[in-house]
Amino acid sequence: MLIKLFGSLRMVVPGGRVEVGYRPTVADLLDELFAQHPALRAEVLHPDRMELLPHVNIMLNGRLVRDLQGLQTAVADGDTLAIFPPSAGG
Amino acid sequence: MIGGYAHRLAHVDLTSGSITYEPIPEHLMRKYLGGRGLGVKYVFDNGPKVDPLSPENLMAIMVGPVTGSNVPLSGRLAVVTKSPLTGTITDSHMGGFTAARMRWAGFDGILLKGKAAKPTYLVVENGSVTLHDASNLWGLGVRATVRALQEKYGTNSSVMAIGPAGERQVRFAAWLNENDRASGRGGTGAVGGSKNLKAIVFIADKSAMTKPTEERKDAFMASVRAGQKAINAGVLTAPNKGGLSLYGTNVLMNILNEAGSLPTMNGRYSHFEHGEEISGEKFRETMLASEPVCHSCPVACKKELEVKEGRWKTKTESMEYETAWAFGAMCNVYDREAMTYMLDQCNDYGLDTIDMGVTLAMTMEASERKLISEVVNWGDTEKMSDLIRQTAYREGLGDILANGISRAATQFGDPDMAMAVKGQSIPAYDPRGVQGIGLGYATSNRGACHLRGYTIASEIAGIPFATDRTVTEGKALLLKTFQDLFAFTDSMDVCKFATFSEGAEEFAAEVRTLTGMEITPEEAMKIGERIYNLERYYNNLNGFTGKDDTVPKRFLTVPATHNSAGMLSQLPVMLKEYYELRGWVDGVVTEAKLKELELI
Repeated sequence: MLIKLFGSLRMVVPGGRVEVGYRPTVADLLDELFAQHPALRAEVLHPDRMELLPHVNIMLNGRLVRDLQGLQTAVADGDTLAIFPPSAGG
Repeated sequence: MIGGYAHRLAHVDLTSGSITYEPIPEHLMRKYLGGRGLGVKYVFDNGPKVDPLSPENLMAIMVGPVTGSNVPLSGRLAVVTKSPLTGTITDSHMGGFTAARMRWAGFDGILLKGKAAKPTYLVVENGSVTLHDASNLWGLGVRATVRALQEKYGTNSSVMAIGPAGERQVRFAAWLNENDRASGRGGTGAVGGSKNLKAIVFIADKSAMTKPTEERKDAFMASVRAGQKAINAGVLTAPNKGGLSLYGTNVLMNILNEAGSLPTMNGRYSHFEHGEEISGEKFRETMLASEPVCHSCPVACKKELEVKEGRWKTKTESMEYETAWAFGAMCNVYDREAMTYMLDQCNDYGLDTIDMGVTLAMTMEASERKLISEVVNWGDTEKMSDLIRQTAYREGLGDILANGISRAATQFGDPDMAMAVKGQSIPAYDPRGVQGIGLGYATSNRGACHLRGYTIASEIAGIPFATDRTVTEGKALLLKTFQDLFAFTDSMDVCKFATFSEGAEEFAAEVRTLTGMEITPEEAMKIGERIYNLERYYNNLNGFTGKDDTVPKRFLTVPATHNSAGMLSQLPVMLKEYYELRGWVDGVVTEAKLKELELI
């Protein structure tokens, strides 16, 4: 499965593309991602618990997981996960 | 005496050459604050029934009570007038150092009417305004104009100027300053051109910095430090760390594209397959030259870009998200160098990049559908660059485009091709995939705009709280809150990006401790609501009603694609709730509301 990383997360993973095996939830996919790139964890998750840092956004097929079931959102094989550090502009 | 203000306003009659000065009455400061709010009041009092390009139209150059102080991001200047693009009232703000120098030169506002007999520029210094012959500047681009005037008036000068587009009254012509910062939207540059006004020079230095009285000094500095702390710690605004600071506004390209909410090829689609190539990340990686700042701002969201050699060789700032989208996704272009060159053209000719890019996209659709004989293919960057020049100089097909997107689309035979509201082009968020922003486009008092009420902060970024971009519930209240808050911050006048890290409480404290006016957060929101309603009332008096509060038909009838597949704008549902919250009837301000807000 493809995980896409944007913005400053590319300073941790140049190119911003990571392939991982299928996992059933977003949280499981993150575990797999952090196993490959441990330094990413501090950029995405709260240090003490499985919770996104403020204004870090994760999209599953373009839907923000905060609007679905959060990190427990179910994942289907072939889905695309995109992780954004805090982003706004205008 | 109320603190902060210069307590000086200039009335300039360009026809007669007379210049008079007066203080701003205190009751107007309390009701409208400054910047956008006071500018709107003066334009309203000038009467709504004026031709925007006639000598009778009033153009107000305004700053706010905190301008040129240590308040974070307090370097904004407002141009307020009746728009030749939309026929509505409009205000458009520029950053850089022009606003601070205007305040330091001793002014809260300069109100311009009439038409000079020959090309003219103003010099603003030490509390006085003088008129000068600009005949030798007429015809020059913005860059050459700024260079000539700064050589003459020295390094303590800031210059705002129009280019060939403003001189020819292109209806989306802009004012720009020496830092390529633009009052881009609404065609305020054309109003300058209609008055034969080429430039304004502000001469002053920091010795005249805006400060509180001695007794309010400690409280003011405490509020400034609180604001600075919020900006420096903000996840978006933190210098060299936050997304806005690292990548500029174009940090948004990938997130909107991933959400299937990036209008593409004139809004036919909502995803651009080459979006990554025109993102802030790519521009930073490949073309970044420097990261300039504005007055009292550590964020440095502006990104100067350089094309070092070849056909598109240039150096310019700043590839905003809207610009990258308008020349990129909307026109099926992903050549970053060509896009940068086109941005530079707009900066020098004095054109709004959003309206220019979206108008080109509409022209490409017209060409594809054989509605026009001229061939303008999707993605043809050479043709785009040529049409930008033609538009600025009103030559050939450009003479039609120069009248604005809606007039041009109507002339081509299908007004629904214009991705615009009230004649002003939409910005870079698809209202099918992000519901609240569609309501924002429809109800903006200056035509399609994201900066009247930036619901994207909540619907995408989750700031100050998250809402689901796909739902309509609660979006009316969310938008109204943003609109009223922004009307207040535009009147202070601080940058929108301060609102990513500060709220009504911090803003009210900054104004209160500087001016001494007892402004609470609730009063700040009330002032914002008053300004928003006065703008709406002005538009109503010009014949605008609920029928004008809409989004382009395409977003109501043609489903979005990619990750927003099947979605349409649900505007009618939100609009009904919005009018109820506003206390308006079919888009018209009621007498009861006008009385409640002390507008009549």
